[in-house]
Amino acid sequence: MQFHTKALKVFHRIYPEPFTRINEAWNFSNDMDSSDQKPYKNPLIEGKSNIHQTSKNLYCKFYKNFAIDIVTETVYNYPYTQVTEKTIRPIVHKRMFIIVGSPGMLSLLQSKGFKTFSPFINEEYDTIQDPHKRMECIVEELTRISKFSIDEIRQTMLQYKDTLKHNYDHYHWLCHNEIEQIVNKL
Amino acid sequence: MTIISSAFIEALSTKFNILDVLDVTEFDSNFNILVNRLLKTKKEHFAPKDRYLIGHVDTDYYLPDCPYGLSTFNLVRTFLHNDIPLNTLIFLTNHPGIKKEFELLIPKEMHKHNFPTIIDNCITVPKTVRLGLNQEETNFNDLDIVKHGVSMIGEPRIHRNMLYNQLNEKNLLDVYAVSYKGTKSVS
Repeated sequence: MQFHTKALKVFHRIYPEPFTRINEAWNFSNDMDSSDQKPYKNPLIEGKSNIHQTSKNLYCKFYKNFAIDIVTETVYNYPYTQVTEKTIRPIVHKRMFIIVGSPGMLSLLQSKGFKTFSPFINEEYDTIQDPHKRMECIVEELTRISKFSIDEIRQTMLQYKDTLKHNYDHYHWLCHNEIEQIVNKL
Repeated sequence: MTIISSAFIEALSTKFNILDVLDVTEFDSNFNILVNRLLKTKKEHFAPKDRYLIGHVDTDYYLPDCPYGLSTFNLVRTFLHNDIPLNTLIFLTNHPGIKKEFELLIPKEMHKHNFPTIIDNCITVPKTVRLGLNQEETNFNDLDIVKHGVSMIGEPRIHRNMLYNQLNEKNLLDVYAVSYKGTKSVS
């Protein structure tokens, strides 16, 4: 079957398992077809609609195909920052990230020893309290990044390879040491 | 099944006698559940190392201009009303800075000797955050990258709807892959 529909028109029409909807940016290998509007039987996203909650790990094979994880955290307009498994997901997959969450998320991660991706990603959004202006800033940044070619994005990922490795290692270090450190202080 | 990792409970058990472990989500819609659980282990005289461990890693409800969350308010009230010392409580949360809510809710004269222990700076305590430990390290290959980004939006929420609508308006859905979990089937 031929795949020719434009992405914007078919969003929500490819759905790898009931109730999960994806857009055509997933169709980078051209093996999906949305023309008959039936559920896609060979799910690219491994049949997991809610991976972080139903799986026993955070691993998703498809992450290797993307440079940046746009993390939509549990809370956005909320008095506290909340680090959940959603923020950890790009760290364990060694991806860059932009966090659509409460302001201060990046500075919290930095205070915990993680590194972020400035200057490639403009992280000003993390300091903006107003939720609408913060979202505008995030989308502006996504728009700017979208203008880079895939080769430029790959090149950038290589430049940040050490940072990605650091974050991965640091996550493991924290998992093995943070609890002990905190309990010892009690 | 608590959201608090067993590693944390084990570490805490070396220092304290843990009377019970609860998550706020178990009782935030019905605080009688908390009352019943507390009364099961309530003592006439608590030992110095007796502790209740309560995990708070979900969202609370905040009324406009109210400086504390409903669950925090009800939790403190429940302890006070049932005459259970607040210093028996270890409150484990992913809300950094939530201590100020307890300071508002607990009478000042109790702050020195009858105040909960609040742990708000440990990001690796929830089981879900530790899920990445189970995963093998993946080899990084830049040539595998075919798209700029991905957003596993998941359950619809206002900010996720905002993001999706903005990506749509700016014609960015060809660049960023999005997965959105709906609540009913697509027609």
